[in-house]
Amino acid sequence: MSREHEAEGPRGPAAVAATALMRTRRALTASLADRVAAAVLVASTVGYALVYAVAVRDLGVASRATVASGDGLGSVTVVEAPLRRALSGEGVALVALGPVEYLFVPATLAVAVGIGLLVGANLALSALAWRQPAVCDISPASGLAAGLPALLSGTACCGPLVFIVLGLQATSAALTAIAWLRPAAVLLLVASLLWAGWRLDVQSSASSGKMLSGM
Amino acid sequence: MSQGPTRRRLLGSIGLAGAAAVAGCLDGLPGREVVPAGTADASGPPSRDGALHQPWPRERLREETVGGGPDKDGIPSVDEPSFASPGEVTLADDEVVFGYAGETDVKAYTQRVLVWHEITNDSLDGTPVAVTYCPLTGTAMGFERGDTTLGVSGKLVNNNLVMYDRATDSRWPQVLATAVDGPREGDQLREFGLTWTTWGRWREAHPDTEVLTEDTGYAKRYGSDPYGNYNPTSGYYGGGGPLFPPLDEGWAETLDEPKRVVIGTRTADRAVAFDKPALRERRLLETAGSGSNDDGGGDDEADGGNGDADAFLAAYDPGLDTGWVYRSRGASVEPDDDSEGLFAVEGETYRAGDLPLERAYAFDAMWHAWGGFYPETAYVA
Repeated sequence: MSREHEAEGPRGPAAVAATALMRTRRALTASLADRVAAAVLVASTVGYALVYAVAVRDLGVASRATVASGDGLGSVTVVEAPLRRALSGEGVALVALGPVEYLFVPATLAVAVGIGLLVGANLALSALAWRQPAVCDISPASGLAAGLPALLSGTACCGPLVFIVLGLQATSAALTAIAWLRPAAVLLLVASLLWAGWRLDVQSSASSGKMLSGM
Repeated sequence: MSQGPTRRRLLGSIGLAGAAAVAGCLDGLPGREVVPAGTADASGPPSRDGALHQPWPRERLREETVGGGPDKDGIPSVDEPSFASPGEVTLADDEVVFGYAGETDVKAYTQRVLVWHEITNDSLDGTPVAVTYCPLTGTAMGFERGDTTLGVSGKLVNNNLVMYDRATDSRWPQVLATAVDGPREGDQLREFGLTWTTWGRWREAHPDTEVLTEDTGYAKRYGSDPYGNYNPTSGYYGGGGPLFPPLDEGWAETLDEPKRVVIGTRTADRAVAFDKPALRERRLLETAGSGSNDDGGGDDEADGGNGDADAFLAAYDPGLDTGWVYRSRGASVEPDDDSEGLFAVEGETYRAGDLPLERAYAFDAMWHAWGGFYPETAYVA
């Protein structure tokens, strides 16, 4: 779709969706070309993955006994048949570095990085808009907020961590809600990203028409 | 359905030196028949001889069963446990362990490992067993398993672990020790006692003990308990209500402290709970029927009707910080005024764990769990 076509405005839901996707893709391409926005994308993704790992308790401080029994500063313990374990969603390695330990669960890490990329992309578009304050105005709040539900989705051995931490009773409705937190976060992040991409392109087009296409 | 090989491969330096498990002994668990190899595989674990009190209709229990989050075997049982001697491990003295002292085997199962697995399929004194722990009800119980193994179904009833046997896939809530679903429905498991204590106390009482290591075949953050901590108790263990709705909430009228620890025992037709903090303080607690301080939470008619036959006492053991439960049968038992942990029975002095009375199987449990499963329980404090 050319810019001339867009100027006429999309007609129908499918056309709107296609236009939103195209604008978002163009906005993301522009963010990758912008050093600050790209740095925000990477930092946000890594930061979110770390917070997620802490939230689901894959990353944390080792217990006294674990620290005391360790030899040297760091260690890596890998299970047998790691590929099979990875495919079944199990942890495959425990990495200890001083008092910190990380349980490497490929499935969890994939989810964390996936959602982290969406959060990062949202923030990168906000950064891009911030770099052109006269042209665009996109708050990073929606992208950050949309990433929060997934942080509450962790489960312990016998129930959702958030209920254990808050001391709440888990009803069947609450358990169902917990199961939908991660899909909900993804949907919210995608919607937020599309909205940001749309807005960025619309505002830039209305102002100078050069903001994205010129980058 | 059984787990594959689970030994870890070490790439870097690791803390715990792995020690080979020692099992394979000649004698069975005290008071239990040894199950010959190959006789229980198709039918699941062996059944207990006498009936055990089970107040709830099984249909109701099935209706009240909920998913806890993880799928079947999502909490993996330890099927190839390894053990080490006390000198080979670094464990804090206040780490909670579940101890077994048999004729040939003396072992401690650490809570820090079992909180991530809930079941360890092992062998004790030559008998295949499952050592089980449910963090939400604070219950550690041992069961004979025959030639099959027990696994974690991912389901809970009254907040309690629902186990399944890998021979018939029948479902066994831990505290009830009764199959509520599947081909073995209605059957009950053979139990054996574990002592809930701390590593320092257990090691002092049993210097020859072995202890379950973290070499389970799984990568887990052992020592990072998602529910809280013991010693001092905090998080889920320290207070608040149960995580899932209980079967019954009548217990709150007797004592509105869901996480308070009781030492529970049950016979064919009744259940008794001894308040553990009260036992620590008073050293001896007795039910109605033999000069009691039964708090009235129980069924008075049942107490009176059964008389001494169903009268129990609990004697506090300060060395292990546990209580031993006996059928009192009218015996005169008094704490020794001069020595803590000793009791005078008919003029003779005995340690709390060695009273010349019939020992009753008992285990620690959170009050909400015990009261939920046994609404008519006697509560003794």
